[in-house]
Amino acid sequence: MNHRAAAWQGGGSPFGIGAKPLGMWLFVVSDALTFSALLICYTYLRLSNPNWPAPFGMESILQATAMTAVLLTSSLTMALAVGAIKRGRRSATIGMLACTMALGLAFIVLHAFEWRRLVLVEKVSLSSNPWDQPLFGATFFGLTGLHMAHVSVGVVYLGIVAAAVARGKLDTEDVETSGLYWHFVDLIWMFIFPLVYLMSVRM
Amino acid sequence: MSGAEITTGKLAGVWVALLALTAIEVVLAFRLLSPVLFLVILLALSIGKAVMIAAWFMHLALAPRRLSLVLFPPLAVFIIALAAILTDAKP
Repeated sequence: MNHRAAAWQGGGSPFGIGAKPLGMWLFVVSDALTFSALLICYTYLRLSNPNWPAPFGMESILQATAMTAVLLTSSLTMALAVGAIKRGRRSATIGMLACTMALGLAFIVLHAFEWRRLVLVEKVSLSSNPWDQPLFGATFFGLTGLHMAHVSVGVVYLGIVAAAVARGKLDTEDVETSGLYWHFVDLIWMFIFPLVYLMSVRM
Repeated sequence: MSGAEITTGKLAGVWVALLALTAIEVVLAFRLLSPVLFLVILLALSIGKAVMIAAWFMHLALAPRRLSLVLFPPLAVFIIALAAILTDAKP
């Protein structure tokens, strides 16, 4: 036990995990509260307004469901990457990280198509839309945009991690830490998909 | 956390369960449920999915319980704030 750990007598690893995953867990907790505020705001507006737009028809819902499946599958490949690095299989780790990045990119492309449809076909902007509910665009694009930014950052982050693993510069804990971030992005979508899309289905 | 491991079979099982819960959500979206009832069902399913992702994909099931306790407050804040604010959301 080093001098600093001995001073506070909590041991070198008080939560049973390393400093890097613990730091990521704390980031995840704080970021979860940010998304919680946005989700609660959106859901409040949705429930309190009987004229809230329902722009998501069958095609949009199928696309959003595909996006959900893509993100869930990327979480599986990320978990497999963590399992591979634990067994010391670096090439398998890099392969699984590449699959995760590809699925993340697929999610971004599908999401971009959805945004394009809303902006160009449905004429939704941040401050106006055909249904005269200006808050819809601001809250929808704010919430899904923040999530898409997280996915984009995650793809870059995983690319950096994969490159470093290929050079032998990162170890198991680093891949685990990047995995925590990616799974968190997936976890947040598990709330955005039902609360934003499924609550506003066009019958 | 690094020493313990979750098998590939278990991860695949969790993935299938998450996809199945998503399919249930989508089917329910096309039933004519009241918004509040639908919201309650969706939140229950979403929290269940989030717990599965945290427990198995994020390996929280293998982590010491004190780490889980660190993560509990934000979930509690989310549920309490949601319950408190949404009761005011009357059309």
